[in-house]
Amino acid sequence: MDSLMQLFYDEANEMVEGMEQVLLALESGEPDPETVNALFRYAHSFKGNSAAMGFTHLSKFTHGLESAMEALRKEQRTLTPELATLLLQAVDMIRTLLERTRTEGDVGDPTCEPLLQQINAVINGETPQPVPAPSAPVQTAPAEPPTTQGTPQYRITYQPAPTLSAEHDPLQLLTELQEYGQVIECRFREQIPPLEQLKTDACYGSWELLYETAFEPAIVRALLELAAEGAEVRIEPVNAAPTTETAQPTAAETVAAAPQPSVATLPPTETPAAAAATTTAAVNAAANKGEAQSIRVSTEKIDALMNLVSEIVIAQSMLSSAQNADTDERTRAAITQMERHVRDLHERVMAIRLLPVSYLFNRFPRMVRDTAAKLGKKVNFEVEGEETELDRTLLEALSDPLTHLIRNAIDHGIEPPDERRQNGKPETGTIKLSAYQSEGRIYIEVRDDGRGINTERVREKAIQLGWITENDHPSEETLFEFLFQPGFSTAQQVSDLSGRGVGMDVVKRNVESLGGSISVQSKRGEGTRFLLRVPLTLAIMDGLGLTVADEHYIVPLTAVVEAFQYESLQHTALFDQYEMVNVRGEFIPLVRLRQFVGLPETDHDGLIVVLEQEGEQIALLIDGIAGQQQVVLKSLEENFVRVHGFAGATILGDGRVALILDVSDLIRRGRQSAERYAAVA
Amino acid sequence: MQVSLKTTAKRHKATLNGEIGFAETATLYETAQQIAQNPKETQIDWSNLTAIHYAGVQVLFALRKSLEEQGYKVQFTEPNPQLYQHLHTFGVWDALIQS
Repeated sequence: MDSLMQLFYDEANEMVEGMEQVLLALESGEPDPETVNALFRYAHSFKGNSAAMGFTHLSKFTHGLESAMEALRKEQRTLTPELATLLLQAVDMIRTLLERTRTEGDVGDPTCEPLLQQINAVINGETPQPVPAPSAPVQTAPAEPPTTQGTPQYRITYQPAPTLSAEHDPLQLLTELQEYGQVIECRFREQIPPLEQLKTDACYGSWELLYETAFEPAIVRALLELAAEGAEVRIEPVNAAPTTETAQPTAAETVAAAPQPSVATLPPTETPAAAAATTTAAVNAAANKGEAQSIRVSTEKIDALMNLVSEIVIAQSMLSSAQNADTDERTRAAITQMERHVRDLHERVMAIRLLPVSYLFNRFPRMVRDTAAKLGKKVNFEVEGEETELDRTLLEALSDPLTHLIRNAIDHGIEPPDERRQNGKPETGTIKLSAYQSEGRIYIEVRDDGRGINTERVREKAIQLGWITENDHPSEETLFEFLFQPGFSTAQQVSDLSGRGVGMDVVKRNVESLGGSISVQSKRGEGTRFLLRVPLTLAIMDGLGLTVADEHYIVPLTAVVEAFQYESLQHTALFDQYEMVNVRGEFIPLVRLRQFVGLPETDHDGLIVVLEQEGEQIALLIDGIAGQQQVVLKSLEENFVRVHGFAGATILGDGRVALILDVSDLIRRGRQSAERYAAVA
Repeated sequence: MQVSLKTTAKRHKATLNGEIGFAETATLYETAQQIAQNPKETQIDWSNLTAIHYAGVQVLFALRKSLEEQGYKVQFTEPNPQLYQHLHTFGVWDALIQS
């Protein structure tokens, strides 16, 4: 996909999301003219952009929607639930048509027109006819191209990027501009030096155009900035209504006997200083207006940059480990300085990949609204911490798990209004989605004030599945763990939303595949809270190197509490292989790393490293500590099946591969050991 | 061959054919240098040229300026209609011939 098309899709998706957010805000809040205007602007911009890309069906439908919204705005109609539903359907239709452009091109849908008629009927107070759902893709005749009558005019200053290339030909870009509008006037400011001073790949010259187009200035700007970085484009709307005078041929044009009478070529200006001053003024004006404060960069470019930084981290680690007693002071100082810069570089590149979780959270209000309506429930959806930032790869990967958890909360958690009333609760239930950062990790919480998890029913189901016997009475935590096992569901009715026993296990697997974990707390009659913990990024982390025999392992530095010499007297063997270690009077489950990775035990004592996550601790018996270092995470699952206990692998400074221990898995094993011991004791 | 040069005692005649893209600009630049090093009245015949990269247009501008500085003129033949329209619309043709 070319970059202009990608730009269109990026903006289109943002606009569709924006329309949906505004509609939901309008529905739930007080009518606000500015919010209606925002909705109108989204539709207007979307129309222009889709027309510019040649998606006439999409443009035509959005035009119809824009007209309806204009009536809404002028008539100051209240957004009734019925109208909100229809407008949200229209947003869905736009989304459908947009998606079809990716695979089928510019195709329409026969339900577009009835939907628009229905929206207009509701706005006009008439009785609308029901509209069928969007049909299967149908190829229809292309719609009429957008009209250019009464279209806006812009004064454009175009200073091409300073370097020419096979791809960067300013004349070609200007020619392409003609496909989106009409060049009324054009002034060429040439600043080309004599031959002896000419650099053939340097661009000398700029253009000023009076340009008429129905499309958004952003599209024009994108076209002119497309081929090379560094172009300076200033676009100003011409306030005065377009008149025929502006298109009158000039003297210069008469001499040139233009074949296109609508295009007037202004005489060229031969004063480089004046031209430069004009350009500088244009750039300053643009800067003063706050233009171009951000740029869009493809995720592929950022990923490539991140990979490169990862390789630099490895190379820097190699350099650090190559130091020895003979390394001179200057080299040591240079390596230390380089370590600092590499860390800074890593943090800055990582920050580019971070996006606020609102990008993900904004999808849910609509889903909650529709799902609740479908199930006849009343739900108030609250969001907190939308500004919390997370790696975009993680954000995308969390979409499905969160969707499932929120749907479950509506389907199983929140009670129907009658039931809630009978239980002394408000008819409207609350689901709260929140995010926050703590201890180098991101926490995402889905909390509802519904009926809570029926642990007795979970136990019965586990017995029925043969996972436990009638005599077993697992702890609440263990019972909740069953919820995440494949094939487990206590839903009495299978709905299209949940209750098929698939989902929660997938949620857990997805979260764990991100290096995260999920836990649940619930109280009967009061509600349920799912807590997802994920790392800030998947790419690089600070780790502590551990050794057993000749092998190296890594644990995240954020999980390390303390390390001390292991003394047999401290150690208390409680039951067979379930061991606990006494740390200042507190017993912590012990995992022997040699045993865990299948190496023979030794008779020397070694070291204990205490690891902690979510308030739970595990003591890890190791041979030694190899030191602290930044490590680049490499997924094992790309080439191997998932191995419990290991979160991934990394390449050490000396080129060897070290496995990264999964602390949450180690802690879970410790907890299960302790529970088994308690059951036996 | 997109660029060819014929030189007589009194004048140069450079003939441009087909398309001069960015890659062909180097050849055009070399030809222009040959002309500038042995300055004479020069005719640029681009009647058979169908397209030209802006880098090539700049070479022609630069050649014209160099020759004019030494007191020689450059005459451009009428380009083909499509190319003319392309250059004229964006003011380049007029700037080139108005020197």
